[in-house]
Amino acid sequence: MTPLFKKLLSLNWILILNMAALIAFGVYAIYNASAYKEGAALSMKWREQIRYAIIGLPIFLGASLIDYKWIRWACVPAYLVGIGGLIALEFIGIEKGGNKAWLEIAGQSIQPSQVAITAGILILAVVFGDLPRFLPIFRHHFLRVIVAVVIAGIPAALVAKEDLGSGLVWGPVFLGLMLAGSVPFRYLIVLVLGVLCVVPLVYFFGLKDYQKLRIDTPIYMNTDQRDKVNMKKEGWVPYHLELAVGSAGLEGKGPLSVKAPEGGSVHRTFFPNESINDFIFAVIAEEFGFRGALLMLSAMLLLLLQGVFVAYNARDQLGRLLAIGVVAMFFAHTFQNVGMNLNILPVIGIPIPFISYGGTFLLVTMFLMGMMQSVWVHRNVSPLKKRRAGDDSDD
Amino acid sequence: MQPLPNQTQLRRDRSICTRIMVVTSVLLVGFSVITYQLFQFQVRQHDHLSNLAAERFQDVRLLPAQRGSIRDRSGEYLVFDEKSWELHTDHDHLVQPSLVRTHLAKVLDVKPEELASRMSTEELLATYQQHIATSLAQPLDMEASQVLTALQDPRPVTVVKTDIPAKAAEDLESYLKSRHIIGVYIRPGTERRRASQDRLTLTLGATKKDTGGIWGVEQLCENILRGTPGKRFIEKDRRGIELPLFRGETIPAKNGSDVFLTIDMNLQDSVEAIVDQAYTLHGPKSVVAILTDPATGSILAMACRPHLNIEENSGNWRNIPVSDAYEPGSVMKIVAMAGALDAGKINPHTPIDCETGTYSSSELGTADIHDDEWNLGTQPAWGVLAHSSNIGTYKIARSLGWDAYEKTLRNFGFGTPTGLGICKEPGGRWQPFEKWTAVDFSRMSYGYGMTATALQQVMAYGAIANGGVLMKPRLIDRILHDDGTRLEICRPVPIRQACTARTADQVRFMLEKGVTDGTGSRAKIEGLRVAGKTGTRRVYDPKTKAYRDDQYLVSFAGFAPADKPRVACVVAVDNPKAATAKAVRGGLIAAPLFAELVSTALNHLDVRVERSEKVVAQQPNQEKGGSQ
Repeated sequence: MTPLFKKLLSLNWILILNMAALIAFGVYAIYNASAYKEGAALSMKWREQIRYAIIGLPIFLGASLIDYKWIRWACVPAYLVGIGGLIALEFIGIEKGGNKAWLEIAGQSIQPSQVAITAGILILAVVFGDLPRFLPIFRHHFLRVIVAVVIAGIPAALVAKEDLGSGLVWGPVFLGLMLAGSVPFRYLIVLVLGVLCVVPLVYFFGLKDYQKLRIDTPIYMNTDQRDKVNMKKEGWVPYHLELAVGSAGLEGKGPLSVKAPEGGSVHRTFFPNESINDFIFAVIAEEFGFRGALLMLSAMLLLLLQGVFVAYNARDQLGRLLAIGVVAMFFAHTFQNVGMNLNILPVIGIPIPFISYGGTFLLVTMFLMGMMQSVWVHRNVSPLKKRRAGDDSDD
Repeated sequence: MQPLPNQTQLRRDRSICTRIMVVTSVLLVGFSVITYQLFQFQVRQHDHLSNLAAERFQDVRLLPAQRGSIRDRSGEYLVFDEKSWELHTDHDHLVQPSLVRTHLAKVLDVKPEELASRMSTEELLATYQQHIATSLAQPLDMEASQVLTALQDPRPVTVVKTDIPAKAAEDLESYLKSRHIIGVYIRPGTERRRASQDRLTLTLGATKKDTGGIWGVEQLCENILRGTPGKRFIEKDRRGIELPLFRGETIPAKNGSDVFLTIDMNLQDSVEAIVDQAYTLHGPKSVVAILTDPATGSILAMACRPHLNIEENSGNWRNIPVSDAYEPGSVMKIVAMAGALDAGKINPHTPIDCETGTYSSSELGTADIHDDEWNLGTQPAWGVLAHSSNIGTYKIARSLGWDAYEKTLRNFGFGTPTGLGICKEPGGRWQPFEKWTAVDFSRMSYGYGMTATALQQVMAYGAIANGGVLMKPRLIDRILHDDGTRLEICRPVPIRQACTARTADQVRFMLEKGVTDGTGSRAKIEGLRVAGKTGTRRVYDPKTKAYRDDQYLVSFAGFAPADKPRVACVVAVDNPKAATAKAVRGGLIAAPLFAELVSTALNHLDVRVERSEKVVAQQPNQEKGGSQ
């Protein structure tokens, strides 16, 4: 049995099946959200998603089977590439839907912000997990946190400038890594309180009026103050999301809206353009009903809990941080997207992992799942084994 | 097999356990919140949100109903709806940036994309509204700022201008197109028109665009005239623009019903002419005339001067016959007569001592009662009425008693509004019964110290003519429902038996005597038996707090033909001017008016005049006749 084949067998297959199920469900959701449209460019999005999943497969397997210890040296170049991509946005960025968040490389448009956060998870894992081992001075938690804040702050600020949602994801990721990174709770609490102190300042002085309205809208709508929301402006999208989700009921309007008269489901009529990415959850809720939405949420929760399990079983701090970072990022994306579709959170569009349409993001999430698999596969493999004399049973 | 963890590893793991637990808790809490909200929307609020979503796909367009017409007894149109066009805004279109941009681009002759980069949305909308305002100001004959105000109104639809004739509407429509104007459209509307500007203005009433009838018959019959607007359910896309393929069901509008009044417009015109003539001739404060059909209580004509000309908005705003209560004077004497006859205190021939013009009594103190005619001496009861003796009437009323007199007053409908409903109507008033003094009572018996409207008086005389049955005044004759397919007759409503038929017959005999042998001799009509009573009431001067001796309100109330009454009439002239005060008497001014009105009315009603010798035999011998 070759070592590679052994590794292949020792992959966490439940996690892989879970991921595959989510991707399949996502493709089906995208099909439901766009197949009725006219023109191949719009109606064939689900095929593109399959194409990206197939491209993502080798990335996923590669990341899974290679011992994740390589990120110790690769994280810095990756981080620099990420920053470089974000800076390049300033000059050669392409605007889509109001956000200048895409780069076109070799005919493919990619989102540097997704690359940056992946690199960010890697480098932060190294900073929290490995830096103290190399440089004893970083055993001081304070210093470690400062360095991490600087490292995460730069790309986060760059991202948030163009795409507030993706920038905000850095927050939960950072918090999750600090949690897993053995930073004492007092630091965590101080940092969270510090952020909470800044929030009002940002709200009143940093945000533009339309952004404030977006934040106020779900608060008003959930506290019986709908009269304060202009349903023709800032309240339009939340209201129609609510209608799409609420009108579906337990069983939904059926795949391809078969139960809706003349196919006139809410998502088809009122937000057909955004339905494959930002509002995909509303489409799932409307077409598959409470049951379908709950099924998707359960699968996602199962995936995240397995991620936590992987983190618990990691062989070292680096692996644990990687797994928790990935879980934090996926959770942030899922919670923000679903929360936005259910009027809990402001309308700030970020995709759901594996479900939403988006090439770069699917590749990035599959790569991160690969990292998680790598942590799992190598949980019992010592990173130093290779150097042991006389040991030839392993590679 | 892995070795068992040692103590250090366990301690290290405990910290990790805590943190893993925290992460797991956060995940579970987050997903619980999401699931809770999902449950709220999809299960708890499902029905509510489904309905809202269904509404979102549908829109209800109102199809206006035509307001019913008001017509006279013979079907002649008095008030009716006429088709016209109105210009209105559609706010949704005016604030739709993409729609506005394409049209403004055509106006400025640039590309829409260029416009998008050149102006912000606010500028775009403002510029376009300015364009509309300046374009429309001239053809609409309005100020540009007025148009702009209408355009900025946040309501979904604002009417800019109404009452546009069909030709102008057509021109305006093509003009709108040529100026690339969207958001301002022309739609058919209606305009309320009246056949005459000064006939029955206050009785017919008026309408307002949103609230419907605001007074008169328009208000009284609002629910009948209004009709039910129809609805058309339409499916629409996200911009609120109608999708013609998805047209839903249509509930057609139900037009308002036509209301036919009891008024005869031909008679009304003649009455107006007579009243107008009297008004110019005598120069009084006001002239009032009401003609009714006593059997049904239907109002045949009703006129007053001064009156309202709606177009010039000039004249008085009081519907005097219905809304003005005044001291009626001697015409009230029938109440005391009817009461006493009913109670069996007198019969028409009971001799009554009318003294010699002045009557004083211990109960009246210094307030003597005077008669206009001196030396009446002892008269039969009919003579008391015919010569309008205040003294005799008081004596008859006194024999009846205070409470029986008040009861009779109320039985004849005095003291309560008649309930015609076309305007605010007083019931007439007098001193509360508990506070009555003998003086009050004595004055009330011949029509002072109490008030009544002309309508109340004509209804009371109608009751005498009608065998004692008091009718409710009737203005609505019939209603034509469902576009003329169903006719509803508004039946006459009797209120009560005010006195016995026998009494009514006796009073009628006495009233007839009043015309043949008494003060009302000038009310005689050739070939007809007329029953009636004059009234000459002194005008109260609030400055001196006394009744004046030189100013009178003269009136005449009665009906004809006396044996088979077809028309009851009250005519009152307030403070007419004449050469001498003696010439101002009900018998001299009001009685001829009455005769003219009633003969005209009977002409209209085709009543045959009987030429018998009996009537011709009577000679007018009461030149100075009249009563106080």
